[in-house]
Amino acid sequence: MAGEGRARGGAGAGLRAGVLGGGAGRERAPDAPGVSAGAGGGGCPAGGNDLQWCFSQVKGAIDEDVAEADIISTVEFNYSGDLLATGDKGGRVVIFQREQENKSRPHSRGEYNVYSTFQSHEPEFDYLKSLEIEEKINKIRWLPQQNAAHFLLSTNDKTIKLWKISERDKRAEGYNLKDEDGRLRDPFRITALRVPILKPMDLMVEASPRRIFANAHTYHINSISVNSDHETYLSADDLRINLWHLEITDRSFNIVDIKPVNMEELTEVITAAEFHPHQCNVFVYSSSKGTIRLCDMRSSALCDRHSKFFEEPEDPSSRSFFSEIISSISDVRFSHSGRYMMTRDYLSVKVWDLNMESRPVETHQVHEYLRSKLCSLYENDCIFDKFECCWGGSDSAIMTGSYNNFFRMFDRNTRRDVTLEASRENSKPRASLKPRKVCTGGKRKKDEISVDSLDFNKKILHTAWHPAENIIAVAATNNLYIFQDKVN
Amino acid sequence: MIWRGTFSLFFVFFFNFFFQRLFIFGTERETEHERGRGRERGRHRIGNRLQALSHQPRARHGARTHRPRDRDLAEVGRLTDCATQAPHPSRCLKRVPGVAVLQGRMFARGLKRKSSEDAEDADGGVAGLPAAPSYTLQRQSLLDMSLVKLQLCHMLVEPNLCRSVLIANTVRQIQEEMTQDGTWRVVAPQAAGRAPLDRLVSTEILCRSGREQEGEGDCPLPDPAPGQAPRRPQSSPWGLDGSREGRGGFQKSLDHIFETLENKTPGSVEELFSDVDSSYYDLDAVLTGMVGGAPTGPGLPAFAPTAAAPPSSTCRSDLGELEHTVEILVET
Repeated sequence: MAGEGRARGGAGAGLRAGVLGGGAGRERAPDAPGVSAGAGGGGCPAGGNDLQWCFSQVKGAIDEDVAEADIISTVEFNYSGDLLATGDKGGRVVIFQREQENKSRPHSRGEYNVYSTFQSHEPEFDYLKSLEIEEKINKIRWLPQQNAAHFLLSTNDKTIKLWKISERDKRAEGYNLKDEDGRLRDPFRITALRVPILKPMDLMVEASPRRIFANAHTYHINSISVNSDHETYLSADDLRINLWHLEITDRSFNIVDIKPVNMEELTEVITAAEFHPHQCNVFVYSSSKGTIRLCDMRSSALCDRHSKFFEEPEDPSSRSFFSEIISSISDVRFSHSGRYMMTRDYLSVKVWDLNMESRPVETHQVHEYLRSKLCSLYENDCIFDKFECCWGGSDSAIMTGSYNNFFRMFDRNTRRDVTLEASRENSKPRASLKPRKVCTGGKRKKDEISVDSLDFNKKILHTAWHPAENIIAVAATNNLYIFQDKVN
Repeated sequence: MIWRGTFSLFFVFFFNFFFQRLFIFGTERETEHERGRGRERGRHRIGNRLQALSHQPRARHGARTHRPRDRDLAEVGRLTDCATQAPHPSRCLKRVPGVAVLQGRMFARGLKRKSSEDAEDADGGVAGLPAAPSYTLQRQSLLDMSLVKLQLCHMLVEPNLCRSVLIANTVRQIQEEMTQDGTWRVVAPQAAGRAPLDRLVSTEILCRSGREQEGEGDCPLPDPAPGQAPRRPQSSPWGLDGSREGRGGFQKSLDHIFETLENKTPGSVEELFSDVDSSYYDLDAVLTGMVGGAPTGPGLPAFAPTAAAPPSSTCRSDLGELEHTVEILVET
């Protein structure tokens, strides 16, 4: 069993290895979160509904008038969960760090406070096409920590950057050739030598770009995924997927290319891609037609031919002009165990067993009440919104966002789901979140909200779940909400 | 002298206003090279299809010149219940069985049940109710909306390929269905004579430029009627197209304006279209994100009639002055 929240890949590994048939196991990722592979979490918190989610923090301005650049475009916890990174449309990355738990107040969990802020990407101009390249951060992915510094990959539409975030809390004083204020001393004036000593200073967190991976994508990058070997990663755009080595920036290998010879025949694009969490040769990519392809890099250099093809047969009774658009998958995520994967299309999340290609093992409706409104949602472009989804640490619960600042949690074991809201109104510390309900028709009960009153500008597209504990980060436009469970 | 001063002042304000609007709606994207390349493409299917659509009455909503993204559902809600607008979906089952069976399913799940119930209805009287055209109307409006969206794509920083592909697939799906229905027809030019004011200008433009093309061999559609009368474009959607001006194109369109002013006839509007790069409407151009030459013309004629109102006798002398003024404004 994986044990309590902070289990770190020890106890769960036996189960994992069994499920994967002796795959990578624990050697791969010593920092990987502890997971009980599908067997339910004995000591682990069970997930969605057995927990009482309560407000912890909110970050961001309260203004009604939201600057476009402040809109959060990606949220990601690192492998230990101590760091939380957000990227925004202005190309900035803000990293929050969890404070150490306070001994005097053991019941209050650590808070996340700003650790580092830096400008990751700048707006660029493509002179050949006369087009602007947006600086919006599309994805951030952390690398497992190997030394005192932290590394993350951040990407905009065209360029991926590897950032090193390091701390500096000591300063050398007493240089011979330099004064304290930095002026050079004349060597001939020096009469005595001294050894510089390290003195403590205020903690300074520096972010520096260590690698820039550019000029490999013609189309917009939508995903990056670090491999379990921690040496390579993939980047996917609309039509191609490239494999990179973290040390090599001037070369990448194209492993998937679905661009047709004649662009007139283009009917399908890649929407997301991810490496398997344990098998370093396996990755999946999803398409705009609602299909997922699993590829094995051992089979050939160019993985245009999939090893597995996941598609759910269409329900002919619910076919409409919008069927294809709402079947387009916006996000695909492997479970921590590596046995399942989850896909998010417009109206639902589906959990797939990697061993069964014919249909998903679970389908959860996120906002089925929107099915009758698809025409309007098409008109105002909301139907093209790309929602993300995420797994709980124990894989027993999944979460995804919706409109009106609602987000949905599904407990896979108890089959219950809950709708919660990220709003400033429930923002007293440790205030429990009240479940929300959308009334689809007929009489509207008190506290319910009708479908027509939903605010479609307030959409929760990006969410993240702490790898081990029940802490979630929800990005609502320019605000970041952090919720925790009320355990203890 | 005073008259000319006032007149030129008027033009300065006029163009100032006009030009600021252009900037609001974005900057140009395509280069000369791409426009030239686009011209080479020549014939393409989509123009013909859209020409064929020209006879269909426009759906209730007028063209939206701004991105509707920022409005919530309540605001756009009138289009919401596409299905509930259909008064009696059951009736169309009798009239156009092939099409109507889908109608209940198409737009609302709730309606499906109702349709299937009424399918057993022995009453054969359809009485020519708007149920069947209502479905067609909805489909038509969806098609129009999709085409507008495909064009609007190019106002963004760079077209979102996924979105374009999804919309294009929707368009294809509708067109396939319409072809099967046999409703994919071109109406005689007379019927299309007077444009309803709530037409989408995109369709207008495309119809106009479609006039200059021949039908493609592989296209299942009939050739567009060659004699389609040019229609008065409406003023609202100039924002749609004006934004797509090239830097060089702006000067070109200015020239067009000046020509129009000089000619001072509504028919001169045609000249503005003569140079429209038809490749813009090519579906594959859309998909590859390479916009051909922007239809610089269509956005501008909105002003042509209004600008023609003031006496143009003094136009010629002021044109040079105006050009100079506009150049300053443009800061090219």
